Amino acid sequence: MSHETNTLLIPLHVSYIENLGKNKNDLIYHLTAHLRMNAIYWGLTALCTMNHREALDRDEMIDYVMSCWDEETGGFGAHPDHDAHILSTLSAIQILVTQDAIGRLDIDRVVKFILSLQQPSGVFAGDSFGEIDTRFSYIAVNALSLLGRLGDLNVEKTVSYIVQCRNFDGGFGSRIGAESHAGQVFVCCAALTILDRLDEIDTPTLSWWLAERQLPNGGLNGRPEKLEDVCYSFWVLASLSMLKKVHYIDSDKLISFILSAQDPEGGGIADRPGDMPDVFHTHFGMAGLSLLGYPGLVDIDPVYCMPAALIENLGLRKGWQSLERRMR
Amino acid sequence: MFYNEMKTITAITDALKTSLSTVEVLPGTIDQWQTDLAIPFLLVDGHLGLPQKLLYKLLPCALSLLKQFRLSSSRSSPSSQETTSLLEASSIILLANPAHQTALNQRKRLILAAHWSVKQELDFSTLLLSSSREASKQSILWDHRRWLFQTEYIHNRDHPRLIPAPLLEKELGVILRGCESYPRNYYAWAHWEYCLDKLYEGCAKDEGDYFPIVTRASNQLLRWMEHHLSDYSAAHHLCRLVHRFYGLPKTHEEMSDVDLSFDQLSKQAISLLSRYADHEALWMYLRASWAVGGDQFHRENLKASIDALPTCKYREQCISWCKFCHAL
Repeated sequence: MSHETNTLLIPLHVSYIENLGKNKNDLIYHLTAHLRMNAIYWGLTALCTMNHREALDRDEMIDYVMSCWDEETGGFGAHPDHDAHILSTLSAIQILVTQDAIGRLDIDRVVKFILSLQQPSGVFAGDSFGEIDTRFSYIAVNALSLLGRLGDLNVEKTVSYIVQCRNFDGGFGSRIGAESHAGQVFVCCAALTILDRLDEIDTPTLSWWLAERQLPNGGLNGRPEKLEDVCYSFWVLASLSMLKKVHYIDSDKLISFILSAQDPEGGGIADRPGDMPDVFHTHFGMAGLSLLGYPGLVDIDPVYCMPAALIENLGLRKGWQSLERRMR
Repeated sequence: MFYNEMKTITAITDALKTSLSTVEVLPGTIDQWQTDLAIPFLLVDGHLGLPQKLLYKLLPCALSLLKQFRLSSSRSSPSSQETTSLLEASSIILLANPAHQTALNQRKRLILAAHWSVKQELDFSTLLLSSSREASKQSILWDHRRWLFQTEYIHNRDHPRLIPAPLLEKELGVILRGCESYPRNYYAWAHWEYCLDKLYEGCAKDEGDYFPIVTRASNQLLRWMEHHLSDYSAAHHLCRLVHRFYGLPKTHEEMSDVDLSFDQLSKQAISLLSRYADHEALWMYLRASWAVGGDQFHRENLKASIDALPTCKYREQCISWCKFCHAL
């Protein structure tokens, strides 16, 4: 039965996420093992946003997370056969926090692993082999914050590198000199928000750049003259939310765009209408709709991209802005 | 188990060791590409074509080899046969899934243990980057090249030194090919910034070989802009190049003809805009050339130049932005 895509097809998306990973013999299952931990976080958080957290088995999920623990490094891999990395480590922490299972974690060891990845310049690497990226700085700050260990961080050093990644257009890149990119803008804004250093952002100039991401079809892109993509509904919107400029975007048009990217047959949301859905775009599309006040969704904290109530209970809520939840 | 797959994996990796110009992952199966089905891949005049479905068929075997090694007691000191097997398995894994960080890490470990050389890995990496669009956009593959350069040159325990100038120039060519196969290739351009950092270090040490490369690189990017009108990434990096090298003493004779100035950049932007005003990227190029190097003289000319350009929404946006930034 085909559904219209002018409303959010929650039951279909819940069932889409429930069915992910059911067939472990699928080629796709093997080809995505390297981001399995991230995928579980995306699926779980999307379900939370739709108020259907119970759709995935909690104990099975926690067991999977713990099976990816690397005793040698003190971090988590994406999959039991995969090396530890800061990306999968944050997803593991986010899953355990969301499932109220943080007691399973050796917090001191994880903190030691994360802090070991800070480079002399202040940026963080993803693992001991040293790939640097402002994404990893945000991940470190986010993770330490969730674990209540932000006090262990050299904040000045961390902030100083991020500030050097600021471009003339107010945006941020992945490393010093890299082009402004909405994904990198999000991670730098969010890291600076957690560290209470929003004063380092040129808010008017960056807000202008972010507003220019909206295209005539209502969708948002990540850089000038690139195609719209549903995931930027979160990266751009969350950044504007932290800067308290959500009204810079035409929200009705963006909502229509996200809804048009739903798969009305099998569920899930794609990067743009007509493409295949995946759990990444389903999660970020849902998070974007939540920030836009779409009715029937749970509040998402744009800084952590986790349920807002959870972040508030941890005492981590910052002064961001979202649109009022609309009535059905 | 996997006997036939292992034979095919060895045949492919033997082919990879010959003097290849290119490797390409081909859609579908071999029967779409050739009639001699005894050889499951194409090898013609130094061009290796690997059907994607063949790689996927070999993937379980390759993953199994990698997993076996990780669990073995000899992982810290592999035998010669194990080394060969690991290199073969990881080659197939990365050709099938260029985002497989664990397979890439394993290759790094073999290099650190002197079972494989940096030169051999750079050659493999060059082929891998060109094998598919998916490969050319992976941050981990571009970072892998930086790791190789750092290992061989900068952090070389016996003989630390600058990356040789010819190698850096070759690297810029690899990057631009990556940007042709995947337009606006973010991580390829970020790698360009790394190469510019290293060129700058060479220039600052006043070693003659490096200056001419900067000249040729800037001319290359100016030509690139003429043929890639939507490429704001190139425009950003061209402005960065001028910004970074503008102040260096132009004592080298090959630099004397070079006008590395912002005036030259804004002239090009305006010339392109007079013909192709519907490209947002070109308007952003104009903004960038002003913002990175604007001065009073520039400001006066900028207004007159913009006034003379065709009317369109991007022109109005540019004028508003320039007023907002006090450029006008």
